[in-house]
Amino acid sequence: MKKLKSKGRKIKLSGRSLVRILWIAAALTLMLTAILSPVMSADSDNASSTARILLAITVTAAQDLSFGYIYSGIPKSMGYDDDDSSAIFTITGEPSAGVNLNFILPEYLSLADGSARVPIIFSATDAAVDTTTVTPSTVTASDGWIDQNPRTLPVAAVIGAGGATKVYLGGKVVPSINLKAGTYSGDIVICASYNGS
Amino acid sequence: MFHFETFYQICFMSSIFKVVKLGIIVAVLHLLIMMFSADKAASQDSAVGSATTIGVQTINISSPQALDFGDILQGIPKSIANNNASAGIFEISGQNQAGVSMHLQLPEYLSLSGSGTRMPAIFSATDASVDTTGAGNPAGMDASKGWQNTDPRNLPAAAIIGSNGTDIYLGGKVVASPNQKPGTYTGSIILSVYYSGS
Repeated sequence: MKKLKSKGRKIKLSGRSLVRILWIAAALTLMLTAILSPVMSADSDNASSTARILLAITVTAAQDLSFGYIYSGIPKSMGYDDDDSSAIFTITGEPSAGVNLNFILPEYLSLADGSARVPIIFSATDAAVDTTTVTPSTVTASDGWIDQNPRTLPVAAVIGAGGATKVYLGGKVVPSINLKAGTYSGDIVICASYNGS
Repeated sequence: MFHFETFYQICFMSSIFKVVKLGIIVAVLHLLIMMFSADKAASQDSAVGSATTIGVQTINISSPQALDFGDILQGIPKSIANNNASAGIFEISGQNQAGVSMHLQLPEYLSLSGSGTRMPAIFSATDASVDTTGAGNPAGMDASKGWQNTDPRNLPAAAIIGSNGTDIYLGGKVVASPNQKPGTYTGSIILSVYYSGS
């Protein structure tokens, strides 16, 4: 036990008490440091977080691919550049956004009752992607992509600056020499999705 | 000393906490599902179009009635109009409304079987009619039914097959000489028809 002297009085202080006092003093010192030195121990700043909501993408089948009359044993082709008979698909969405385009093409057209089929062929130049939405007969390379393979449409395809892109499709049917009379049809499916570019 | 009340309170609070925690988890999962679902619907789409074609019916041609000039007299020409009951009739059947091209090969003369004797036959620019109603009645033909009094050597390019077929009525003229040999004279008239693609 240490004895401390003060004027006129004697104070007795045990060792345990001294330790306790030292702990309290240290705690108070840290608190004061935190309060009085904010610049040294903490800082803050503002940053931004942004997100862009894209317009919903929609696809419509505006016009069917129509071969008209066909005759037994005589193949018939229809280019993608016929305003009245080429297939036309319209894709709308965020202007200039990159899109993945994929066709699911039929291998044949069939009668409604399924009793007869006509093979259908799509060549590597039977499609065009038009980002300026002109017409099948007037689309050129400056409007997008022409003479494209419908099974591998351009990966760089985008929604046009006007918010729409059109895809034109042609093909060829090959009727047999004993073609059964009637109306033949088949489904053409196109899928479009944003690719983030 | 066991404090039942305290114990009960602790258990009760624990149960509430579990329920609340479960509710929060469910809410978060639901929110995540909605976020991803909504995102998919907006970022892709598809459409179904069609490819179509019409396989046409086979063209069939028949000649149910010959162009019959009947009895003729030496040195006296005789004409049969295309709307005469004796006019020649051709019937064409096939794909309804399909465009067709038609060509007639006309004889220059009729000949006497076995002798080679001939009698000239003439077809004018108004000796044919094309009836798209398929009525088979030359006398009942009028312009509203197709093409009337047209050139048999230049049949209408816009001709179609009607819903009941299409008929061609043909007239003509024979010119018997003054010493025309008696007998039955005949000649062949050939009609060719094919789809024009229109």
